[in-house]
Amino acid sequence: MNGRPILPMIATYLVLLAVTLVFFGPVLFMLVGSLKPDELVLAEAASWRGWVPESVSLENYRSVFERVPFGSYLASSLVINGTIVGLGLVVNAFAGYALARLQWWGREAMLAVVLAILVIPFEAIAIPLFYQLSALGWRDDHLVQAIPFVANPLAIYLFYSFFLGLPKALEEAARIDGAGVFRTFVAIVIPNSRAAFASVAIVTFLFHWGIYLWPLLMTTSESVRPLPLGIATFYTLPPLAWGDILAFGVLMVLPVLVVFVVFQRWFVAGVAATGIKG
Amino acid sequence: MASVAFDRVVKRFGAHTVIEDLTLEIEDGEWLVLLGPSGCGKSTLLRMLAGLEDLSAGEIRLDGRVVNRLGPPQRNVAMVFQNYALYPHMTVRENLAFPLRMRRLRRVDRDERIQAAADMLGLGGLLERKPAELSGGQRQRVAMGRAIVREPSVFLMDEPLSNLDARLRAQIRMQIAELQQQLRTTTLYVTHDQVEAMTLGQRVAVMDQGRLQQVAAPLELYQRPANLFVAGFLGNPPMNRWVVQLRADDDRFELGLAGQWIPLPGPPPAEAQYVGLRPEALVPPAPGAPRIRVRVDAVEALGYETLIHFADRQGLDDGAMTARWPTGVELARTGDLVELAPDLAALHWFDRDGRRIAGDGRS
Repeated sequence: MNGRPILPMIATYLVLLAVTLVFFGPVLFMLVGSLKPDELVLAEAASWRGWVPESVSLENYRSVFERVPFGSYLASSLVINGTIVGLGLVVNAFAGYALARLQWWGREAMLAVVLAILVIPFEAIAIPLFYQLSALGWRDDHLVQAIPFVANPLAIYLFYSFFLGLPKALEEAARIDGAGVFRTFVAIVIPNSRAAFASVAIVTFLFHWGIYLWPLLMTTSESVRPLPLGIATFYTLPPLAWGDILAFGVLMVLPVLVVFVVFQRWFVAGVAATGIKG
Repeated sequence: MASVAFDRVVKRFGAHTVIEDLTLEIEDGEWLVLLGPSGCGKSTLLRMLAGLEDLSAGEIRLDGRVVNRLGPPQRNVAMVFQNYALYPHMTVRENLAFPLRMRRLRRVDRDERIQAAADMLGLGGLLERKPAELSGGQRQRVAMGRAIVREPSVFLMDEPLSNLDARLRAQIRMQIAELQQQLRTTTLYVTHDQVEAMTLGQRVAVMDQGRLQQVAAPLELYQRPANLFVAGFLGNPPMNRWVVQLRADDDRFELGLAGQWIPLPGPPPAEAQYVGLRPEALVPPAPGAPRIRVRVDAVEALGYETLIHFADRQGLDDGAMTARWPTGVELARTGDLVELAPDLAALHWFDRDGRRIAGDGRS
């Protein structure tokens, strides 16, 4: 101890504990509920027993795999998110770099447009986009669920602000050393922007992992539907089994946790560098 | 190697003119130092030659060929940046190899050149390290190495020593001087440090407010400054400069210095408006020599010399009146009244616009 007064410290920790419970409580409830017999999940939800697994059972998990094609949902989610993140990193990094470093007519206006699009929620354009793509006959596959999200104004802005902070002399040195603009970007800028790429990848992945409305509008085949639509099938599949839903939820969260834990170090560095909040 | 010519070059940023109608030629193999205070436009000039800034008007020629529209990769110039700009994700070897890879040199030739540069700069043991694992001096040498391996037609150096401490700066300055002897590549070296300018430049171009003030050999600059700016900028402490006060009696002329009159050996130039005298030309008087008496304001005993600042500022154009005395002269103290003999053969005369009229500056 470094001589700090004890009471304010206890108060601080109590507040932190309360905040942790608010955020972590639902996750704990989901994990515990997924391990309980189905009939006890809601019955014990209001008491402390709801938060403590008395008899651990993987029955709900077995049931998930029996009742719905979980593997197919997971594969679809991975393909869709992989496309969004993979293509998105390329497209948005190029756009961010062009806005941050290249001199071209209309650059300021384009930056303003990108910032303006940031505040438009996807739900506002979902229906027009649905009609537009339906008119083209493009529905019900993985790509149609991914392509509209590849170009992402938030990702462009994050790359833009990160690239602005890179020392310009590095790129100038590369230009003088004989590298063209593209080569400078690939050989010098990208390797020194790993933190930005990691944080944009994680933010994009997290955001789209749970997306529901767009796949619902654009797909009818189970084989191309992602996890969020998979979990919804339980509500239309009698009997309504909360244990199964919670087990599905845990399985759905696991890949996100893995991605986050693996890339956490870069993510924190990236947050510091790009100034992402929340 | 190549000759470089700036022909009536202008650079504006918006309404602000940074370089104003500048013409300057650098010969093939010459080492020219661009010297001036911060913001005088010297780095901008370098960046324009590198192709990193566009010109607002005028022409830049490399070996007679206009390069205004060529991008940096096409100009075959190499640049050492103030902050070195080493690629942080590459080892020293990869940093040195990068410009060679961009020029598609074969691996054997690359390795050969890297080894030669590493030997020349003593980088042998550092080749597998990343820049973050190097000291400031080592980084500086790697930056030099990356410029050298290219075998460019022109070297551009933008204050390459300014991030080093004084001792290291002196050491690397000597190494650069040696390199200069070995390489004989046309070089533009930007600095605001006059010691670097005096020791490294075959010629020095002094700039102020986007204008070329004087281009000359280092000693010539010191001994015959073209105007009051150069007289005041070069030399530490700078030249003492007074507004001319004269009185004439028949054909005897006397010059007013610090409120006292000193007989001149002959008539001053007719248009003289300012007169200057280097601190080392204000010496303790020999018996019978004309002298002035001034009060000491501060004394800086530096061991090898002593700088004496005087309280009397009457008629001074700028700054304080200062004398530089060699070690061995009895030290003055603050508040003392001392006698000074101005070396009248070392007077510099300037007209009302500050331009040099006469005086050979010997002292």
